[in-house]
Amino acid sequence: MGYVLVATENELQDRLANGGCRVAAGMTDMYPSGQLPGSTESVVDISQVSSLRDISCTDGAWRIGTTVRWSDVRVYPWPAGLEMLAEVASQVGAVQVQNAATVGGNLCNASPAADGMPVLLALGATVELWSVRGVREMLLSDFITGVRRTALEPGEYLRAICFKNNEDAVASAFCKLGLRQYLVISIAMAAGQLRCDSAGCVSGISLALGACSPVATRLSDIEASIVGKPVSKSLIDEVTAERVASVISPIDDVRATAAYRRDAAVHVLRDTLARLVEAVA
Amino acid sequence: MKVSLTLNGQETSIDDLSGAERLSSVLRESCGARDVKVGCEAGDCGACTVLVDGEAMNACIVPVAQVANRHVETAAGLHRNGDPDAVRVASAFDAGGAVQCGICFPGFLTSLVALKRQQSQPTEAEITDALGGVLCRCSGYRKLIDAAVSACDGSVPRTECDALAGSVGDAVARVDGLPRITGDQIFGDDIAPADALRLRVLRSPHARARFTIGDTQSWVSHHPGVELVLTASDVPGVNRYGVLPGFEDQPVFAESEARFRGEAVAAVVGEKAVIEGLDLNDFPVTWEPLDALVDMPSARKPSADALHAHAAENILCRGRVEKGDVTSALASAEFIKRGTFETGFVEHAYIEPEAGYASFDGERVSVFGCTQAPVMDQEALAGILDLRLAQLRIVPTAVGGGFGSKLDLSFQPFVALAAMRLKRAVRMCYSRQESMQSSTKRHPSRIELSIGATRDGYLTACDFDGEFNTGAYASWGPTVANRVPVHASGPYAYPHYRARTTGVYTNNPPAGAFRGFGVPQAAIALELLLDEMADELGLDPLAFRQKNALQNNVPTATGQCFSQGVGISACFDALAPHWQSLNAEAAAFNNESAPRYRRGVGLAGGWYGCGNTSMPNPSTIKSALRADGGVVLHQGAVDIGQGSNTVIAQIFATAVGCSLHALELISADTDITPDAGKTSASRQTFISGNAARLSGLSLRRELLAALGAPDDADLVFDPNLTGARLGDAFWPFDASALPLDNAGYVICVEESYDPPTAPLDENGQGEPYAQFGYAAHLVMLTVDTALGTVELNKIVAAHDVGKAINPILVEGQVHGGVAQGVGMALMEAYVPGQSEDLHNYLIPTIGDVPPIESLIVEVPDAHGAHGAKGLGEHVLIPTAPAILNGIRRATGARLRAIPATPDAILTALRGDELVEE
Repeated sequence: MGYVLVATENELQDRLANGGCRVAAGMTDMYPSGQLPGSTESVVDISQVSSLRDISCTDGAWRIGTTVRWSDVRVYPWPAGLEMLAEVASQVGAVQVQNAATVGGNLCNASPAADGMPVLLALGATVELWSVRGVREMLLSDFITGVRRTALEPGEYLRAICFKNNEDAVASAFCKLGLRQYLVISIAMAAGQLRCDSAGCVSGISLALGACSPVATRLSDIEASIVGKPVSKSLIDEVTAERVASVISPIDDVRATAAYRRDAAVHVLRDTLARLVEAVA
Repeated sequence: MKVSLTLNGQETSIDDLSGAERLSSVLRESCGARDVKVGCEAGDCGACTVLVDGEAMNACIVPVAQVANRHVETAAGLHRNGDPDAVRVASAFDAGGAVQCGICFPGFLTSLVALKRQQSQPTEAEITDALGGVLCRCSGYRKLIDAAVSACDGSVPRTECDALAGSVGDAVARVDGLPRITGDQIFGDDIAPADALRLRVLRSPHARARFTIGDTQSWVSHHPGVELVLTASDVPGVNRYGVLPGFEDQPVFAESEARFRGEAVAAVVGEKAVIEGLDLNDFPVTWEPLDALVDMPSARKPSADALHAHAAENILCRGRVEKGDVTSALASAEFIKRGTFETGFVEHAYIEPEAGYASFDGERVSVFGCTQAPVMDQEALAGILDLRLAQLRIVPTAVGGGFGSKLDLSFQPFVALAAMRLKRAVRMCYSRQESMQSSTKRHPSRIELSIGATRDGYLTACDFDGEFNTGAYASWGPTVANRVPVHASGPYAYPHYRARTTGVYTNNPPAGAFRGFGVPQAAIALELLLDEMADELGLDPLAFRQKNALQNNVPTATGQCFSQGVGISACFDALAPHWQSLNAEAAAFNNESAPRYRRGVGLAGGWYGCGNTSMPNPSTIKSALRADGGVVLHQGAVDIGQGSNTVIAQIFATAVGCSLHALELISADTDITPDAGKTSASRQTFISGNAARLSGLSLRRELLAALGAPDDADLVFDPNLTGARLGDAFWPFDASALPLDNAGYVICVEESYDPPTAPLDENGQGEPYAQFGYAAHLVMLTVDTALGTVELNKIVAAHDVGKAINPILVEGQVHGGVAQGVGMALMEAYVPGQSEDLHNYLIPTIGDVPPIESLIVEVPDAHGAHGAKGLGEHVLIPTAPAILNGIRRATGARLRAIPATPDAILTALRGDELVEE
């Protein structure tokens, strides 16, 4: 057991090759457990590995390094269609948390209420994983397998989050519902991105809900029902309680009942869609 | 490993680190930066915010290795080094009355400096975003926002407040504001000597369990560095304490059965590293979990086990106030409203966990730390430790928020006992979890209320029956049971009245004192029913309340008739223009906006008796003159952030006839300050203020006599006493003519004040308080009827304070009470095992408290110093019912329980719940 701060990916890879350690960066979820990192399992702190901390874009292919912090995402000059990344970043905890917590940590921690999940799901993000066996890519939706569970294998780490941003993406939005303004865990949240063609019809839409099921989820039925239709407020009617209920499985917890979440999910999703429509109009 | 960093501009290295140590801990314990305050150790409160290369970080969740070779700046360091942003912001916070207890303010200061460096002219929205990561439980944030805005736009109104002499009525900055802002203030965990041993408490993981403790000696021998284990058998005196005579039922360590989750069963003591690193899971204790009585219905079942042998049916005590014939009056009432209301545990959630240390010199035990009641601590510890009072010295540090909970013992018996046994200084600081598990809470309540009225809107009868869940131990449960019946009437008159209360033991953390002693819960029931009754009678809610408001010479529920000083009508009058204009604004909004969003204005009144209920409640204040002519105030009242250090000194300075700034202030220490009573019951301005005034007048008399000057001469200070003047005559001060006492004083006086009250008879009739303070709030809010969320738009709070000794501190109290009312109404729910941290137990952030307009009403009270009335608890009482009434007026949703979460509001909107009416 122990804690070690590594400076390079090579060092990290050496540590992982030896096995039996957990990767961490922002530590915002590690300390609250009450034990210092490294006291119950070996921890490799990758927060200072500079090669993992870039946001880059090549030919419309975006890559967010795993230790990019939410404050980096908050201030990044995102183009149209990716504004929701800055929006969600500004709602992760508060400034202090955003200055520590990382995008990769948010995903690997695999909380059902991870703020980053619906946004990155709506972007169809993939994750790049590294191990001595090689690099593999998988869909984010396959990477998170359950509450606090991911597809990470022993000796493997999340290196980057990747997504394409189609040039015709015109708007994105993120809506978070919590019991207070700052430092709050979502009761429900939604993210969406809208693309439209020259005729003013929806050429593509992606919608996702978080905190309403063990893993955040896309609303593919609703998306399918919207594509091809003219962009107008009536699109919101496609978000029906039945369609939403069919893909979520909310729980009762200290923040809200499952029944409330089922209702709220519909409204949060409609609000998100309304904002997308408004942005285009 | 060794970590080198630049701390506040100084190169610093720390050796022997694993690297994973919390930066907050290393800064505090290895670098001496005790200005880094720790509230949660989980990144939930932001008090420990420091700048790392200019960025705001929660030092409690930063591994120290991450800051190697980086620049770390702390609040006091920034200020000490003259950082221009820090100096400007601190000055604005101070002059603007932003700070109260101050435990969180280093977090605000550093966070704002970080923003200012990125952006020289931030907007208000950017400021709140930058400060959103710091929780404050005292201030209500609004003055902090105003001060931050002024600091950022350069208009600091500093000179105006500094020019004031600090007399009664002056809105002077608090006497101890700046160190509270920079973190230089010493709180409970900031004072222990470097070599103090650490103590940790082992607590029950079960709400109810029998337990046996095994071979602790063998355990100690397997844990080198552990110097001592303490259990119930180590308590030399009586292993029972309580805050009220006759109700001492709480053990320091449970003896064979733990009665709530979080109850102490043992303590371990040793060197810091050893104790912090201990895994207490192998401590030799065997648990046998038992069925817990988790709520009042289960505790009151005839088959329920008794928590305490002395309490049949798990009833702690009952209270009653009765006049007239309420049963017949309700039977014949032209109009009746009935309702059943429920509230849950509310956590005080002060940002400073319980902390302090004790030392023992072979004869005397000294305890340093946060407390609201030093003399009560002294008395309780004497019984527990089997010591004489004179063998105990209690020195309160600054208190990082108390709100009633730090009236009860917490860390004190543990460290005192350990210090006695080891003859070493022993220190402890509660973790956030143990603070929340084991400290007292607001009593959950179940209230049945019926009120009767005539068709034309005169109240005829009020029948109140309330059960209050006191948890596993009495604490202040009897006070709640006695105070509530006196206050459940609200500030209204009824010919017929009956209020009965029952305190019930359950397997929960003890419920104790929390700003209002049960009255806020009772006010919710009454003010909601009054509001509904007004609507059903077709009366304006404000006019209906006015019609029934208590007046001078109108008897209260206890038959007490005040010939003066009744100020509730004046509060309602003050609100009247706002009631009109905000209702008009809400109506206009509702006409214009989508039906999903509904706006409403809610109203509620309140009153609160200042001081103990029908019991002696004196304060004594000592003052003196030094040989150099300096005036010294020995002030034993503990300032828990509300500002008594300033207010009491203002009253005293005015009585003496000198400037506040000329005083030497000596704060509470049971060795050198006489007993000014506990900081509770809204009594310090009223009672200790009166004692300070008497002490000041007495000192002035003695000074004039010593100078040989007539009684109507003016004392002359520059800044110390130089003499007395009357017209052209001058009597110079000559210390050599006066004998010097042991303390170095040439004149020393001591005066006491005890408010006149009279016992309550068997029907609860009598004169429980010498004075009441009065309050009325209105809230404009908007409900999203799809999500059930509430946006508070504005709060107007009218308070009759008799005389505002310091208007800026009055407003600070109002803002802070309102913010706690907001939390209680909308989001706060303490559930043992589920919300034992500030992550899951939500209190309002800077974004959750709307603009507050504070209307200071001054209906002088004959007993108050300069007419002043107490205020500390009044400020919380009307807020929650005003919010709930606002929700109903906006949407029709009738709530019968708090918190009114979005979930609960939607349920109420559907009307699923209400069947009783």
